[in-house]
Order: sequence, then C-alpha cells, then structure tokens
Amino acid sequence: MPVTANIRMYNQKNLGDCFLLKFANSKKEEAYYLIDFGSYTSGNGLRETEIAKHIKETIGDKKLTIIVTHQHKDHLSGFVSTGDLLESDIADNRSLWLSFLDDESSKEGKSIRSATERYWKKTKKVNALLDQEFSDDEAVKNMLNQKKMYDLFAEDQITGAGITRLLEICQNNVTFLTPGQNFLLPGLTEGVRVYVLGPPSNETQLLKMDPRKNEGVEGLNAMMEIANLDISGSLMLDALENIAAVSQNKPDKETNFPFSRNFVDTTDSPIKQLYYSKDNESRQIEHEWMSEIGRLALHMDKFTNNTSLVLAFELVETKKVLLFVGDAQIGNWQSWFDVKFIDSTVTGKDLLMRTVLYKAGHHSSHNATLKDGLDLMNENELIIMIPVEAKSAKPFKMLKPDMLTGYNRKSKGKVLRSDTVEQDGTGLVTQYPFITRDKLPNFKLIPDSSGGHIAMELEIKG
Amino acid sequence: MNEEILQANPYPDYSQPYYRKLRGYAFDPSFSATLNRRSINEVVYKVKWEPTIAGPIGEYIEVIDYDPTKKCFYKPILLDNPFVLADNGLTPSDGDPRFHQQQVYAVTMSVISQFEKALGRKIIWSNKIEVAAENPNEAAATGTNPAKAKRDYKNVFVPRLRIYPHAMRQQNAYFSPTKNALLFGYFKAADNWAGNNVPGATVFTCLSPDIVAHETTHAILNTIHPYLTKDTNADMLAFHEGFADIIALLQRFTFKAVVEDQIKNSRGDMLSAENMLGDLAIQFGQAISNHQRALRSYLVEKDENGNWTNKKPDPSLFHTVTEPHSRGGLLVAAVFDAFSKLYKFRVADLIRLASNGTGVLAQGEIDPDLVKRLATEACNIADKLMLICIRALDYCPPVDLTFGDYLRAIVTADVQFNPDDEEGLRYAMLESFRAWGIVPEDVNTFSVESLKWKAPDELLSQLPGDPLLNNTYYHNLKHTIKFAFDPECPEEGTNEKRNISKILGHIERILRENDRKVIFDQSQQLSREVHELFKEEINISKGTEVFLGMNFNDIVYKEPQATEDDKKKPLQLKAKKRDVFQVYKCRPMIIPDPKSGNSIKVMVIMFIQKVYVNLKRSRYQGYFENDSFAFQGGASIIIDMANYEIKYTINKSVSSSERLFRQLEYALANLPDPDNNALMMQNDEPFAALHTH
Repeated sequence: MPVTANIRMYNQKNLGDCFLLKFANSKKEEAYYLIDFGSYTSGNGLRETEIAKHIKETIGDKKLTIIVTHQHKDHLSGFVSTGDLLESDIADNRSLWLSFLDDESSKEGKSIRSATERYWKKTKKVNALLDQEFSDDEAVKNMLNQKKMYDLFAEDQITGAGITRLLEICQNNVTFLTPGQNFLLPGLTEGVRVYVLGPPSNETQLLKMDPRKNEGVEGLNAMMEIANLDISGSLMLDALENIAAVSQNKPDKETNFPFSRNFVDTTDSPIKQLYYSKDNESRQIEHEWMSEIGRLALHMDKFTNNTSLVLAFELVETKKVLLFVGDAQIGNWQSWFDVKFIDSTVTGKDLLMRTVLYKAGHHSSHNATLKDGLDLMNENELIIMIPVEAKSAKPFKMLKPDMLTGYNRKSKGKVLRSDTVEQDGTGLVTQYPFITRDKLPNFKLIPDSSGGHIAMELEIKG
Repeated sequence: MNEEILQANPYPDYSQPYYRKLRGYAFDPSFSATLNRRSINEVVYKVKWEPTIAGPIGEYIEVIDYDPTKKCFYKPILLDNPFVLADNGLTPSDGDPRFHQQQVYAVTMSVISQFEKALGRKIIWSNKIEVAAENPNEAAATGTNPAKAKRDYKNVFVPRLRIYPHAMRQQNAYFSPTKNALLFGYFKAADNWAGNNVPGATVFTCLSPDIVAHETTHAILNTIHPYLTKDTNADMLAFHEGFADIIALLQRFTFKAVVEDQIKNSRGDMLSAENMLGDLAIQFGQAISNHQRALRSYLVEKDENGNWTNKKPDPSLFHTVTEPHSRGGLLVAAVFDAFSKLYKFRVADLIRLASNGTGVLAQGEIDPDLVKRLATEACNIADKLMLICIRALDYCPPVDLTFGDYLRAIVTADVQFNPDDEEGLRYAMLESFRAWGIVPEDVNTFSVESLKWKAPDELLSQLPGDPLLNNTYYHNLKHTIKFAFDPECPEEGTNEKRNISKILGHIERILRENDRKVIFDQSQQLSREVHELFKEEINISKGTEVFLGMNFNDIVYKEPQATEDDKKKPLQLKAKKRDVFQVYKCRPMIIPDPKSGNSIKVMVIMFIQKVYVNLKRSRYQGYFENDSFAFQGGASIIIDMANYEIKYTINKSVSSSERLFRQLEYALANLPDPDNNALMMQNDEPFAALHTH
C-alpha cells in the first residue's frame, strides 16, 4: 500500500533536534510522531513556544507519539518549557517511546541512572572547587570553561526534569524499545514498519565512541565504564575537597590515602628545592592530573549520546527507509550490523542500504556518522537533514569540512540544514554543488512570524 | 646541584661494587596476593652501581615523589642507607611509597642499561627549547604564518629524566617530552572480583614493571628519534607503542627464575595459555575490566567460545588496523612470533632427549633440570632479539618511518653485527614479519639481500633526471664525505675550506668520553661542522642534495594516478624553493666484530629538509593552517670510516609525490581535535591521550 511521509525539521534558531513526522496511507489513516524537541542554549523558551504552538496547530486533536532519543538538553528542553502546549485532554492521545536504557525498572537502566545522578552531584561540587582553588591557573580555567559547555547538554538530565515532564505529558503511557524489535507503525494498519536498531544491548558497543580509537575500548562494557566514571569522579572530588580543606587550614580528610601520613615528608628536603627550582618550573606537574576531570566530562557526554535510540522507518511497499539516529556515536552504529530482528530476515545492513532520508547524527559532528554506514546508503535518492545552528555548533566539531564533503559525496549535494536551509559550499572542495530549495521537488519552507522560517518539510512517497 | 655528592666515593678503601641489588616485583603487586606466585613475583633487580642521593637521584634519573593531588611530598628513599643496603632494598609493599620509588628506579635503570648495552653508547636526554629565530625573513619567503616561523628550536642537554611515581589519579601513565618526565597515575579498582584484584583497592601504575619499562622506552626512543612523535603516517605512533611493548615484554626474560617458573607451569610450551610471559600490565588490565586477563596479551587471545587460543598471524590486519596500540601490537606480535619459533626450534633437541626421542614429554611436571635448560634457551633468545630490535634504531630513516622500514633496518643492522646468522635469528624475524603481513613496499623480493638498505651507487639508475648529471652529483657527494672526514684528502687547489682537526677531534671525544654532557656538546658541535661543510659543498655543485633525499629547487608534486588510463588530469601541488636543511644526527659508532676481532667504525648522518606545500585551490584547501603543509624529507647515510665510502643510504625524498599525497590523505583522516585539547589539558602531550584506557 502506498504511503506518504512528511518529514518536518523545525528551526529552533539554536543547536537541537525537533522533527515532526506525519505518515499517511491510501486508507486515509494518519499518524504523527515527534522526535526530540530541544535547544542547547538556555532561555530559548519563546522560540520553543512558537514551535510547540505550530506543532499543536498541525496535529489538532489527533494522536501524537513522542520519541526521545536520549536525555540531552538539545533533544529535551522543549518538553520542559512548553509541556502544557503538548498535553492533550483526550485520554490515551499521547504516548512516549524511549530506549530500554531509560527504563528505570531494568537493571541497566537503574544502574546507569543512579551512577549518572551521583556523577552530576559530584560534578557540581568539583566545578565549584575548581573555581575556588584554581581560578588563576590558565589551563585549568580553559578546561573548566570547555567542560561547562559539555555539562550544559545534560542540564535536564541532571534534575530528571525532562523525563518527569514527559511522563506527565504522556500520562505514563510509555514504551521502552530494544534493538531487534520491529512492528507495524501504530496508527496505520498498513504501510510503515519500524525497526529498532540502537542503542546497543551488547554492552561492549555502547562505549565505542571515537572512530580512531574504537579498538582501544573493546572489553570495557557500559556498566563497567559507568562504574569507573563513578570511582574516578570520587577520586577527583576527594582530592579537590582535601586541597580546599588544607588551604583553609582545616584538617586533611584523606589522612591515610593513598599512604599513611607517616610517609609525608615534612622537612625541607633537597628534593623539594629541586622540584620548585626556578630553572625547572616547566617540569612541574601541578595541574596535569586535573585533565582527568575534563576527560570525565567528555566521556559522560559521549556516553549519553551513545545511548541514543535509533529507529528506521520502512515504507513497506517501496522499501524506502527513513533513518533517525539521535546522536548515536560510532559504537552504536557498529552494533546495527549485528542486530537480529525478531521473526524477520531484514538486517541492519539492508536498512542502511535502503536509506533515502538520513537525519544527520549529532548535528553532523565528526564521530557520529560511521563512514561504512554512510557509504551503504542509497546514493541516488539520499537526502541528509542536519539540525544545527552554526554559531553554537562551533565548539563541538560540527559542520566540519570533512563531514560535509562526505555528506555531499554520498547524497550528491542533497543536504538540508535547519538554520540556513541550504548548505553553503564556499570554501569547500566538493564533487557536487549543494542543492538549493528551488531544485528540490516536494519541498516546502514554512515561514515564521519574524520573516525567517520556522521549519522545512519534505515529502517522500513510498 | 648534587653533582659533587654523586661523584664522590665515600669509601676509598674498597672498590666500587658492580651491581646494586634491589628487590622488586617481576609482574605486579597482585601476584603477591597468591601464595604460589608470590615467590616468583618478588625478584632482585641487579642495577649497575652508581652513587645516589635520596630520591633516588642518580646520574640518569631523578625520582621526585610529589603528589599534586595532595600537594605533598613523600619521604624519599636513600638507597645508600646501611639498613636499606644490607637488605637488598626495602621489602616489596604497595603501602610504602619509598618502595615505589625503589621499584621505578630499579626498572628504569635496568631498561636504560639494556639500551646502552645494545647501542654501545650512553643514553643522553635532551629537550627542544624555543629560541629566537635566526632567520625571521624566511616566513615571507615560504608564505607561512610569520608569527609561527619566527620560532626556532634548540636542543639542550637534560641531565636526568624525571620520574613522578604518583603524579595523578587516573588509569594512565605517560611520558611527557616537554617535561622530560614520566608521570605515573594511581586509581581505585572497580568493584568486581576479576583476577587477583581486590575491589576498590588502589592500583599503582608505577609498581608494574611492564608499564614502567614501556614508558621508559618511550623516553629513550624519543631521545634517539624525536621525530617519531610526529604523526605523519599510521606507523609512527604505532611504532612507539609497539616498540615500547617489545622492550617491556623482553625485559622480563632478564629474570631467569621467572622464566623457569612459567616454563614449569606451561610444561615447556611457550604458547600455552598458562604462560603469562606474553601478558602486559596484568593487574591494570584486570582492574579496569571484567573480561581482560591483562592490558595486552600477545601470545593468546579469546576465541568466539571464550576459550584461550594461540594468536595466529593474520597478514590482513596490517592493512586494516590503524589505532596506534593495536597497530603497534602487530609489530609486537611479529617479534614475539619470531621468539616462539626460535624457542621451539632451539629446544627441539632438548625435548627429544628428555622424551626418549619421541618429542612428547611424559605427563606430570617436567624435570627441573630440563626446566633450567629450557629457560636458559628462552632467556638467551630474548636477550638477542632485544639487541637486534634496539640496534636497528640506528638504521632508521630520518623521517616518516614505517614498519617496513624498520624491518629493513633490522636486517641491515643485523647483517652488520652478525654477518653469518648461524642461529637463524634474522630468518626467524623475516618469516614472522612476513606472516604478519609486514612487508616493505619498495623491495622486489623478501630476501636479506633486497631488504638490506642499498648503497647510493645501486640507486643511481633509479634516480630521475639526467644520468650523466646524477653521476656528477654522486661523485661530488663522495668527494664531500672524503673532504669532511679523511685527513689525507688533498686540500690544495680548491677554494673549499675545512677544519679537519676539529671534526676529527669531536669524533674522537664522542667515542672516548664518559661524561654525557660533554658527549652531547661534542655531538652538537660535530653536527654543526658537518652541516656547514655540506652546505658549502652542495652550493658548489647544486643538485648533489638529491642523494640526501633533499631538493633545493621549486618542487612540483603530481598525484599518482589510480589507473594507467585515468582520463582525469592529475592534481598538482607545488612547494617553493627552500634550501634550508639540518644535520639532525651525526653519530660515530664502533661496532665490534667478535669473529675477526677487528671492529668496524661507522658514521651515521641524518639530513632533514622541510618544504611548505601550497594547498590553495586543491581539495586539501581549508584543513591546514594557511593552507600550507609542512613536508619533510631527507636521508640517513651510513659511512664506513675505514675507506669513507657510503655503505647504505636510507632515502625519504622530499620530492616524492607518492609520499606527500599519502601523508596528506593520512593527515586529513586524522585531523586533531584542537577543541578537546583544552578540555583534556594536553596541547603538548603526544602520549597523554594515547595512554588513557
């Protein structure tokens, strides 16, 4: 049965995802899906309200399924700020899809949740202590500033406010999805099938985040990793608290760690003179150890990204696939090749090969699109949509030339951006010119009240 | 400081002992937790005697036990304290930081001795420091960022490598080239009961001899070849990692008791899963993960069913694995494969004798005498392999090292040191390298003859350009070398200037001196003299530089075509003429020849030239600063000082299009993440991130 899919990418004027999908078949059945809704920068409530109202207008009193790929602010904040607009008075009119890792009744979910909570509690203290004790150290200050940018992604995750609000909106009508599941799209009796590709249930894959070092982390599984994050976080916090205590002439709390205090050298030994001597200043190691704090921040960010729920929507008759990957990192991608779909012969590779619409992973950052995965996609029809905003994306290695030229090569220039609609090719050496709005059939730009655009919409027939 | 104390002999009535004996772990503290392993884990390191002061601080290293996470110093150990001396040092214990200092001192000094033994010269630390540029106008000429080009670097002598046994709280240990220091971390083990781990217990990386040997090797390798930290191809950092692991693994074979015990446990089979001689950093590996037997295991791996099986050579990995540790692992695997082949071959007769000719040993424990003999063979092979691997370092190209180059260096060095190879060590290496797919691209056959580096006259026919001219350049080069080093080379009738007595004076002192500072200064001066002389000679006969992998004209690089009938116009890149070069090493060596009793005197000289390739309006635009790519080339030449002939030249031409485009593609695929550097606080630390697990 032929179906039509309308993919609408909203423009938050900020870094973040918000996709409204409408599927309709020839039986006149319709279904709406909202995948993520958030902005990275705080205080974007006005724009988010404008978008929420627009969504409400579009769906009217129809059913809506909300899908949240992972608990980062740029995928979540809209639900917190504009939740009332998305609620419905009609019973069972809202439902929520999350990944199995967000299921707090599962073993994995529970331990991830409690470890992340502990991590963020410690982080708050660590940041304050760094400000207090090392504010005059350039390298530490830079690290802390950069770290705070990463920490911001997790703002709604820290408090749990995002998920709490979502459960309210959907009246606890929530489904947790696990890779291997596949089912007809609820809302249509025929025409579209959903395949759950990620996040990996194989624990070892969850941690593969960096394409260059992917082999290096093998053998560390997710639970182990989160436990290590926890222990390392405590070690850092203990050290900082101790330094702060000593600098305020309070007693040393870590008296006998790592060694008994009897071993501390209290004399003015020649070793100390050597360490502090003027000619050897560059060989001191005062702040090197704090790189661990930065590493933990980066790790936590990628860990959460990698827990992204990944869905492939298959238009059954033409077998076309729309691929929504959240912010999945390389390890998540690699696991798709091993997913065994229940009662089905379809493989992850098939789905990639039939992909005609790809929602760029992690706003086009360099470690969120597996080259081998992109290479498989259907190059004749492929369109790539990047939800991004150039200014706030800059510190996070998004919109880098190598990724954009890769997208250009594979999609033959059919790349759309939420902020500028077209991708400007100036300064890039590419094989194809980037497509412009007038050259794309079935494309619609939706204006906003201030002369810009609130969204763009693409119609795919299948 | 302290130099006087370090040289004084407080007991002039007694001769100085040859060794200082210090107790320490052979594996790591986790082994001492089990009764049957404890006895072999606690061994005595025999460190070459030197006067030390509290730290320990000796001639080569200074251990500074400062813990910045607590802003405190731990009491330094005084190795010369009578109570410490009387008992072979402190008893191994992870609760006493002074034992930690003793352990890092013992391991680091052992590794340094191994290198000095193999290289036949002293290990000298040095550091590059920034100084004002001599030629600030060059920036304009090359089109590089003037602010950047104004920087110039100078090598300064650093007397001691610094060691911080408790530098951070993380699962990490690394060598910092800018600080000339080894930083060791400590951390708490995860809450599981894997291996011999105690959940939540503190793991100290400085107590693992494997980790200490690995980091020390990084530091030594960096003094021999500083360029290896430049990531110009997939093999460079991988070589650093692999080589450091090779030394860490082989250094364990210096403890015969440990080898005997392992041979006993595995009933003589080097490749059995019970054998832990192929495992590195066992405690560390078990502390960070549930499933690991060690951080890296080179003899065995888990198959699909979770059983331990022997690692099988897989040549395809050489073309697919890129992560530095894993890629370096291929090099280690090849060397270890050679080791087990040689062991099997060498002990076959012993096994036959012990099994009445059947080759199958009777069940049960094997005879203790046999264990001793097998261990002797294993230690002997390990010792020789270590020598071969280290000596090859002097036969490496000056830039852009690949594993294939290293194999060629191994072969060339070994032919020089051990011409007839009666024991088959060289052949075992060749066989194993081939099995692991490590085959140099630029040789026709996989034989000693073709793998050996070539003399320049053998390369004459391959050089592009006019053969007659090339011949002239070649003769000029030969003349230059004679002119530089041969006191009998006539000076009359030329306008050339030289100061032969100065050059010979430097060479003589470098070979004679014991003071590392003097050797360093003399080497620097020798390099400078040789540089001046070559500069002048090349000026007289322009073009001679091609034999040294350099090119002082404008250079045009053409992208190699994928296929012959590729219709597309190949990409062309240009580099502006730049006739600046450096003599980066100038190293006289004496190689003993035990067979003839004569010794061979050779001189290794390394030349490097850097050019800036303009990338504007090419597909490489937009990735590199100012769209300019710094490309290096050059050559190492090995001169026989008996007749001043060039025995070998190892050429990495700065004009090579193939090498340039390969480097560009590699650089593009591995663009650094400048943003993360601030977060990880490691702008100048090539090894810090690499070593985080």
